Amino acid sequence: MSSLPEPSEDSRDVEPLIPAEMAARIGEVVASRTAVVEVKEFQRWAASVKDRNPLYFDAEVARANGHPDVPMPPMFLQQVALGVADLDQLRPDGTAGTGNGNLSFPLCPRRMAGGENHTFLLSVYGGDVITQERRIDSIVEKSGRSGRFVLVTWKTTYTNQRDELVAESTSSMIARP
Amino acid sequence: MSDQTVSPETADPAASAEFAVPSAPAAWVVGPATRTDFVRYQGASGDMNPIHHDEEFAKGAGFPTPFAVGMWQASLLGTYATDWLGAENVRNFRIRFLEQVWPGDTLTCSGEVTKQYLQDGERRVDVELTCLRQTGGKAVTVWATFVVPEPGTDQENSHG
Repeated sequence: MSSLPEPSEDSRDVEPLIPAEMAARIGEVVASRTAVVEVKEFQRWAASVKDRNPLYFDAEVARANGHPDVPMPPMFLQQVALGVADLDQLRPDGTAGTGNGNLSFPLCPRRMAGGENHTFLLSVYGGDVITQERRIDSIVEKSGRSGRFVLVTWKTTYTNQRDELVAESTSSMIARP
Repeated sequence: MSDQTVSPETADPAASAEFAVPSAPAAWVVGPATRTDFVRYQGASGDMNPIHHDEEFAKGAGFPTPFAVGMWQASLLGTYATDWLGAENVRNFRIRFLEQVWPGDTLTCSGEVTKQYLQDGERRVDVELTCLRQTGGKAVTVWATFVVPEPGTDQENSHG
């Protein structure tokens, strides 16, 4: 998952996979959203990943473990400020795209998630106000065993209403011809 | 079923520190996965990509059926790991998506300690978590770091 560019020998004489107008967007903030954490929302999410940890559902258990109230499951954080997409605005591949900057790579229609890396710094509770800011960290053309591809990496920060950094994340997407 | 992961005994001994780490729970079997599982995750997360629930849409995109949102199975590993080491103790969670998960799949979540050490005055443990399909194929691998609280502190155990 190295993000170091590895231009391939044979890419010099062929059309670059990354349009110049996409390369120019590296560093751009593509999403900046703020939302209130709702307990019922994160409890529904916990149930959807079969997580019935009483810490998330029972305030007494949470207090007995040193929390002021039920804490939010850490992995729910990326859903807190997710946009509410209209179904008729989804892209042809079904993705919403808006939170990632609607990047377009016409020569690389096949997309797949690369990976995600989350660092958690503080607990989050119902009523907290989370601001999610995502920027394009890098867009590089690489060459692997199955040919050329584009690797896009985003960096996301999450801060709370006290401007404390709650978590940081990187995520990546691979687009292939 | 866990023969593809690094066992604690093979972790670099020079990097280890001596403190007790809770034993990994038995492997957690989930499934067979249903379309309802996928839809429930989508509704709860806000990602309504029809490729995960709409048969016609999925077929039109070249897939035999809808398939799970990758974060669903990754989050199952989160459930397994936070039950083991405590939800408030997770510091890092790095996900690699591998094979897709399909309706009818039976998933086995397991984990092993790969390293334990002291950092920033905290006792930490690195774990490798694996979600296997019934075929033996890996759906997701996660490398996570947890703090291991001192015995007797509030965060020692969140999920009795």
